[in-house]
Amino acid sequence: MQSNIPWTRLPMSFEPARLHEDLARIPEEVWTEHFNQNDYQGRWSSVSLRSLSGRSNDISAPGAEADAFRETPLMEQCPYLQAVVRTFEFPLRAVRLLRLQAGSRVREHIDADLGLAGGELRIHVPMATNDQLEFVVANRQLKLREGEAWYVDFSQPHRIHNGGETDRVHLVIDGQVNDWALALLERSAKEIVTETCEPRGIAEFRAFRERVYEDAELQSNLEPILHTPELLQAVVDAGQARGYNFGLDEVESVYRENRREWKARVVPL
Amino acid sequence: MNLEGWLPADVVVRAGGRRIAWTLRGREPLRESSFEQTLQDQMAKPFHQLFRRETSLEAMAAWVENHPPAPLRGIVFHTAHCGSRALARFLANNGKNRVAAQPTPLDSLLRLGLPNLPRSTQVVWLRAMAGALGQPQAAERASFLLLHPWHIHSIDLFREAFPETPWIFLYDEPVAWLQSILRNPPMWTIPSLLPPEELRLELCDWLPQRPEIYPARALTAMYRASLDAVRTHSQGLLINRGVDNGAAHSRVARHFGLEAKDVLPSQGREASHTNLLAGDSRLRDVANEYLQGLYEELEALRR
Repeated sequence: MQSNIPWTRLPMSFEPARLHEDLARIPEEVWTEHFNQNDYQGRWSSVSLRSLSGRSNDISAPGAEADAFRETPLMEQCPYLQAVVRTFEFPLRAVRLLRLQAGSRVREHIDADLGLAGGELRIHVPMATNDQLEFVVANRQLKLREGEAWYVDFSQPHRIHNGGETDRVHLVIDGQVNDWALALLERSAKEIVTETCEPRGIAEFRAFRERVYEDAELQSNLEPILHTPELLQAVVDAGQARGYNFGLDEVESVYRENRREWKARVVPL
Repeated sequence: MNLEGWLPADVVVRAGGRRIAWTLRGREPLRESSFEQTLQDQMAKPFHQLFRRETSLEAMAAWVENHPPAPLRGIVFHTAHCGSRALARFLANNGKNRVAAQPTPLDSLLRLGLPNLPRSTQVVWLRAMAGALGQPQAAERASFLLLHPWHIHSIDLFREAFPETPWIFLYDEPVAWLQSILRNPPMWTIPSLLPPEELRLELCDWLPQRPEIYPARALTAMYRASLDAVRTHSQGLLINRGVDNGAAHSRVARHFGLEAKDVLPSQGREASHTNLLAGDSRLRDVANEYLQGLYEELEALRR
């Protein structure tokens, strides 16, 4: 089994109109703000269709055995989502809707406990999204369209920025890996081409970086800054002052990746 | 492309092939006794993590072609734990000599960048890397390479790339060396960190119950390679740290054509190992079994 699939679209597709219908059935007051408020800016909220307590506002996704989870009242109220969820023939853990409101962002992070190796997988079914939505995994932008189903290895660094005018809502299905799931992932990764592109902010940062390489004055302004957050902000400011449109997210991500790569060197001395 | 003030930091493998990573060093001279320490000091600053720069090997070669390095006046092969750091400090002492001491990017190039290439290409890349490391800053007028211990096995390539450059092989008496190595084992004596082939060994040379065997066999291969080298190549000089002792540095300086005014006096005598030699009879046995014959051959050639 190939456990190093970074992401893959899956072969099933669902009807966006019916996804929207079920989404409209969820009362606004059930949406619960995400618990880890350091990780996002704006509004990042969730409801549960299946949770440990069986409550709709219990939005945690703990790593308990699948049969410890119970459907919440919302599952019954959303017949199409129920059918979508049943398409996946692996033991279900938490099933939630995650909503990132217009203008909000989830900072880059890693979900180290979510991995095929640990016997867990997470499937995303986009229910509502927009063209300005930037979903970036390992510094590649993935285009997830409404009605598609995706597996993503979230132990990779990932971040989301909803730069559009509308909310982004995904049905997020957590489950226990079984032979059916493994076969599905393996077949999908082999047969389905998933196109990715470089996030715009990363391309802008790379262009700025080329400029720094050639610009002694910029170098001498930035090089002496020893405090990392201060340097990263100074880089964003210097870029914006020169017309390069990237933000802290991108600079932080490149910085972290470069540091990781540097630390991973083997120097046998 | 302007690489003025940029120093090679690594060889990285990308989808498109091998590339050189560079770090901005500016006009700072290169005189530390450990190139890797220089890099670590650089990378402690966040700027250098964010703004490491990558180019092709071709771009490095083209840059060096148009920006001649300080002439390479000497190459030091050595066994480690033999006074090599003190020698690097000695050579760099006066600020006129640019010393790359165990430059990691050069080692990465040799191990990751050169295998399976035609010899003529290997020579081109090796010259380009040495040239990029040897770009003179401040008062630097000459450059020196102090290599990694296993590079003695690549001496033919170095001689082909730098036929005019004098070289030395610096070593020590086997028991003293083994004692020093076992007291403070370098990472390259661990087969998972440096592939045994680099030391001309195999994995089965590693005996977990007898940690002295693997380094002893590594030293055997280094002694043997240096014997072959000194018989095959001109311009070589053997230096025994323990025996040449205080005279080692002045012999090296003369061999590299450095005049008295080009170097400062050596900072005191290298610690003698005679107090250690009485030591461990187990190591004496290992040295006798693997190393004594080759060591005596080296000593006969050295004198």
